Amino acid sequence: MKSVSLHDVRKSYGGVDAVKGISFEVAKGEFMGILGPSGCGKSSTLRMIAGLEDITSGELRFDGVVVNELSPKDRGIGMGFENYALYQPLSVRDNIAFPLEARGVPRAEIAPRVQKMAKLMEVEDVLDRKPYELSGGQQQRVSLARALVRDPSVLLLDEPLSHMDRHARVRLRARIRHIHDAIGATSIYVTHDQEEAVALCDRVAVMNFGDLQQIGSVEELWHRPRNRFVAGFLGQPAMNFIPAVTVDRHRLRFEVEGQPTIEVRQTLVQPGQRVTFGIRPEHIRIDGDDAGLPGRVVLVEMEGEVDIITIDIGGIELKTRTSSHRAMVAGDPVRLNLPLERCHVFAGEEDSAPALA
Amino acid sequence: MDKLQLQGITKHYGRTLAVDDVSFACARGEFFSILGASGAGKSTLLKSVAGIVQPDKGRVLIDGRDVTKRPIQDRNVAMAFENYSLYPQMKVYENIAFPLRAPTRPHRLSPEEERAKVTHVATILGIEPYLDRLPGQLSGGQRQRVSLARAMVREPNVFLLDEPLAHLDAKLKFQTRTRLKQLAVEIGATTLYVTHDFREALSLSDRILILRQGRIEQIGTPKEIYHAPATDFVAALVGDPPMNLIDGRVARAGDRLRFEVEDAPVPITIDLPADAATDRIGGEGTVRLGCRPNDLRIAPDDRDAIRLPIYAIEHSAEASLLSFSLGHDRIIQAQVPGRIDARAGEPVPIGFSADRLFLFRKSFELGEV
Repeated sequence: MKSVSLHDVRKSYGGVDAVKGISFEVAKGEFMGILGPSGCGKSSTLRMIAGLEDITSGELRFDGVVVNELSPKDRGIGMGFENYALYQPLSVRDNIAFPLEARGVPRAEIAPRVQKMAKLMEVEDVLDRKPYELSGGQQQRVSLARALVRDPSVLLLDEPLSHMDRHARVRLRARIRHIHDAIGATSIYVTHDQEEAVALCDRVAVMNFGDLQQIGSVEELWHRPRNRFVAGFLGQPAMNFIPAVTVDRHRLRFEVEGQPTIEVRQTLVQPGQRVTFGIRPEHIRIDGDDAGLPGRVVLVEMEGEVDIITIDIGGIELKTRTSSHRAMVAGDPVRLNLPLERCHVFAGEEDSAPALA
Repeated sequence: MDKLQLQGITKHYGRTLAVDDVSFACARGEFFSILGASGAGKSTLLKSVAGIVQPDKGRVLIDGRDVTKRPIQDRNVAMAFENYSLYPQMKVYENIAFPLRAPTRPHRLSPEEERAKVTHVATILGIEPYLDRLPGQLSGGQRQRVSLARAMVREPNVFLLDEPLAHLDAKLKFQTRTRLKQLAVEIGATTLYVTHDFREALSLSDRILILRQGRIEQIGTPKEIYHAPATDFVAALVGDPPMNLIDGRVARAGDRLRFEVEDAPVPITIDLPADAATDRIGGEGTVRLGCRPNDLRIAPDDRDAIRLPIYAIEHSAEASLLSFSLGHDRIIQAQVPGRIDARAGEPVPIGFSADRLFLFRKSFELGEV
C-alpha cells in the first residue's frame, strides 16, 4: 500500500470545472472519506485517482511519484464498487484468482493468496459456489477479495454499501473497517452518506461545488466546522441555524419574536452585524433552569432509541434529541440551555466563515 | 366510532396470496402506518381502502358505512403515491387546487379561500416558491411534495399515502416528514400511511401495523413496536443499528435459565431472568436472543461479562460502534456513548442487561452478511 497525494488537481469538462484544483494527502494506512452531495465532484476525484479520467491539471502522486500518465492497470488500484461486477460463470475461487491469473502470477502462488484473502473475508465456505448463489453481502466481500488479492497500492471504494439492505449494510461496514485495519490498507471511500463517512473514516474531505470545503478528523468536522455547509451536512437532524445580530463581543440577539439575547464565546465580528448562530440537536439541553431560553414542544418524532423533539422559540423551530424512554408531548413548555462551548457562529457571504475566536 | 375499519381483507393475484385475512381499525384523527418489505401486501391494503383494488373477501367501512363495493369517488379519500401523477400542462398552483374545484364538492370556494388553502399547504411543505411553475420545471423531490400537497389540500375522510417520501434524499426526507406530521396533526386527518422505512413509521404514527407476507405480525404504538417487539421479524425490521439476534439454546441450571451460544470463539453464556418469557419460546431448547446494540455495555466490573476481541470499531461524533465476531458469519454490535479509544483485536468485557434482553422463536434465517 502507498500514500496518495493530490496537488492542485483539477478536472474540467468543456471549460466547466467539475473539480476546482484541490489538494490533500492520504497517508499510508489511512482511511480517508470523500463526502458530499451528488454533483460535488467526489466521484470525478475518485475516478482521476483510479486513472479512469484524465487529470486536466495538477499532480497526482503515489508515494511521492507522479502517476498522472500511468494507465489504470499500471497504477495498481483495487476498486470496490456499488455493483460488485463479479464474473457470473466463474466460481468464487476463480473470481478472486482472476486478477492474479491475468497478470501471469505462477499457479503455485495463486492458491495460497486466494485462500488467505478468502479467510480474511470469511468466504472460505463458499469458494466453489457461483456468485448468484451468494447473498449480497457475500458478493460484496468476494468483490473486495478480488480487489485486494494482488496487493494494490490503494483501495478505492465508491459507495460500496448503497445497494445493501439495512441489516447487511451496518455489518458489512464493520467488515470493511476490519479488513482495512487487518491489511493496513490505504483506503479512499466516496459516499454521499454522512453517517457512513463518519463511522468508517479516520479523516473526511467534505466537497461541494467541485471544491474542498474542509478536511479533517470527524471530531474536527463535528466540533469545528469551517462554514455553514459543513456544519449542516454532518449530522441528522442537521445543526439548527438561527439568524442573529451581534450585540457586543460576547452576546448575540436572536432575530426571533421576543429577541432573546444569549451569551457566546468571543466573536470576531463588529457589534450590530448579521450572523448565523448554530447548535447541534445533540447539544441542546431541554431541562434548562429559569434563565434558559423559553420554548414550547411542537412535535415529538420517535426514531428508536431517541425521540426527535421540535421546539418553537419565538417563531423559529429547533430540533433536539431525548431518550425515547421519557415521554414528552406537544405543548410542553421547556427551558433550553445552549452550552457556550457547543455554540457555533458563522458570518460572511453564505456564512462561509466561522465568527468565533 | 372508528373512522376506518378493515374486516378480514383477503386478496389474491392469480394464485399468489397478497393479503391474508387482515383486520384492523383506525380511530378518527389517527395516523396509522403499515410497515413492511416490498411485496408484503401494504399497497394492496391501501388500494382496497381507496377502491382501486377489490378484495376477494372482507369489508371496508368508513364512518361505519360499508364502502367495499362503492366506487372511488363515493369514498371521499385522498391519495398520494410514490409516483406523483401530476398534470404536466398545469402550474403547480392549479395542480394543488384541482381537487378543490371538483364538481362533486358540496360548495365552491371563493378564489380568495382557494388561494389561502393552497398557499397554506404549499408553505408547510416548502413548495410555496414554485406555485407558478410547471411540474416539468421541478425536481423529483419537489414534484413529490406537490403531489402530497394536492392530496392534503382537501379535507377528505381519510388520507391514503403510499411511500410519499420515497424519492427524497435523506435531508429532505427528514424535513418533509416533520412537515407532513405537523400538517396531519393540524388537520386532524385520519391517515393510512404505507412505508418500508421504519423511521418514517416510528416518527409519524400513532400506531403501526407490521405486515409480513400478507399477514399481521404486530400492531402497536411506536414505543411498543420498538421496546417490546413481538417477534424476531419485528425486532430485525425496526431499529438502527439493527437489533443483535443470536441463535442459541436455553438450558435450566438449578432454578436459573441460561442462554448458550454454540460454536462461539469463547464460551458465551448469558443468565436470563427466571421469569424470562418462556411461554413465548416454550421453555428450554433452541431460541433466538435479541439485544439492541445500545443495551450492551462495556462492563469491566461485571463478573458475567463476556470477553470478546474487537472485530472493528467505528466512531460517530458522539458514540462508538463496536463489532464482535462470533464466528460462522455472525457479528454482534455494541453502541456505547463517547469515543472509545481501543483498537481492533483488543479484548473487551461486554455486559448484557438482563432486563433488556428479548427471547424469540426463530422465524427466519439470519441473512449471511
